[in-house]
Amino acid sequence: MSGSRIAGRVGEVSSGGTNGNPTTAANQGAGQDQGTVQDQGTAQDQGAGGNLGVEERYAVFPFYLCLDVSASMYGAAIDGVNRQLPLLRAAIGEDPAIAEVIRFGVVTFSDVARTVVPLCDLSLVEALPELAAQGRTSYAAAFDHLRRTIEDDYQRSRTAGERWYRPAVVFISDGRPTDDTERWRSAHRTLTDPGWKRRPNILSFGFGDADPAVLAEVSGSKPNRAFLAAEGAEPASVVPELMTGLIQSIVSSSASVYSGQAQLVLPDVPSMRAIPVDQLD
Amino acid sequence: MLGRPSAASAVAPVLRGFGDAAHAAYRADGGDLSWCALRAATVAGVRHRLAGETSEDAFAWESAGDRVAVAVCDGLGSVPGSAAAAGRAAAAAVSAAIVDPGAAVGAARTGVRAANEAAAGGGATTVVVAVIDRDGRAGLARVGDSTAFAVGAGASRARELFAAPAEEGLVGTGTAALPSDRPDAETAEMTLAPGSVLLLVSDGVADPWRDGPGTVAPAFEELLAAPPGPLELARLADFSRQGCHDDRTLLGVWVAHRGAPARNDTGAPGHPGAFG
Repeated sequence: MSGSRIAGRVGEVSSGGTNGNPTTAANQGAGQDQGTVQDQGTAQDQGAGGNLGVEERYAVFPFYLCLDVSASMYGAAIDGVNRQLPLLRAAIGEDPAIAEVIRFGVVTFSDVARTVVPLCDLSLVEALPELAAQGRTSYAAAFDHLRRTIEDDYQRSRTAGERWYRPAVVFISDGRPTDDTERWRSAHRTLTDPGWKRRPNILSFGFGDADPAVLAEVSGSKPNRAFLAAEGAEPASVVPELMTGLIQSIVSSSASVYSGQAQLVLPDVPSMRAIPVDQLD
Repeated sequence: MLGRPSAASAVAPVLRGFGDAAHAAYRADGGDLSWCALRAATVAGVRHRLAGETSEDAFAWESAGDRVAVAVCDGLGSVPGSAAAAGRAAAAAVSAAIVDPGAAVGAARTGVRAANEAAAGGGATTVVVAVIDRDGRAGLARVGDSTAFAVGAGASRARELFAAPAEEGLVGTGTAALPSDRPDAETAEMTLAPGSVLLLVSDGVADPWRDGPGTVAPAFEELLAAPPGPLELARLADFSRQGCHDDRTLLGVWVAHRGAPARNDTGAPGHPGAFG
């Protein structure tokens, strides 16, 4: 041993940040985009010097299914959702590591919007509600409700020691908005406001009378975020396939948090095509 | 268990169709020099184990004279071939760093550049490299979210040597990675006092360490107060905690600890095979 030759104190630190490293996803950590940092101190007197927290925290990935339950969904479409939704719970139950990180909620909208499954650990839910279709198609109601719900859920979750990956909204509709155009656009702007840190990523799916330009706008006019079933496709075949794809997407997205790159994995729905964003206008 | 219980951690994995020592889900190693002790352990994350897959993390070290170079890499699961890329990068990093005669931090940068070249050819990986000299001076460089902590002698609170991720209210979802056209590394320097440890970790360790100030952090700080046995380090890395199932790798270098009674896997000082 040569301890007598060792000098200095524990934790004399100087850190030099650099920039320019390409990132492979958004929301890059501070270490990569900051300038030079000079940080002096000791492990003993500063304790958790590198921003170590003071509260126990657990990362979770929130998913919201935002489902059109207007009158036009009556019949095969809503029946398909009701049959398929329990399969999501079963899929999550098959992978306990995913069940620990995913939080899932269901919001429906017609004339008004409602939370029919509050954001929760789906593996702890014994039964999902049966959905019924009625009324008109108020996108504004859906977006207003999502904005309030996401913020409330975040604050409640944070109090419970959870920190969030960016929430994801899966928006499904078979019709055009029955609101005044500026009304639903205003609600959508509020939901997707860049200044609101909890703004969700939105995937939108349409069939029946859904308008591709509107769906693209709902998804922020981003490539491969809005999808439309082929013209004339029957809800009886589209909805089960869509729900199967969504289940795979939700499970894969949740699993991605363990891969070093959490991401919203697109569903594989062969009968639906991505809406080119240039259809927006 | 460190924090909320994890049901996933309690599930026994199905035996993989093929296995060998090089791809074992639990790996640990270590040894002593006259002036430092080194211990390393890597465990496959619960989700990898349950899926019959192995860890995509890697560690490596190389020593020469009064210097040791160490590296931890974390292959990105979202990119095929990342486990191999991590292995290549870690080995290349320490091999290049140890032959750089310059200051420790410069040698660590050299290690990152070598890791970047080695990572080409498939896959993507983070890297954190440290070069530690006999006098306790250490230089570090990294690309990505693998990081380093220092823990003083006597189980004092740990200090992270790089900036922790900025969350802005949400968890970050990406990391810088190699290979890169511009592998500019963040750097850090410090001087290790006798008995203190410099620990390189993948984010599978760093995230719960930051998120568990009352559970994970004190458990690590207590065990790492002195060089544990390699298997004890692996056991620590395999803690159960809700939602924490990424691969986990730790590599620690304790300076000037030879002669102190080392821990071992039975808890009895001086047990055959123990270091110290």
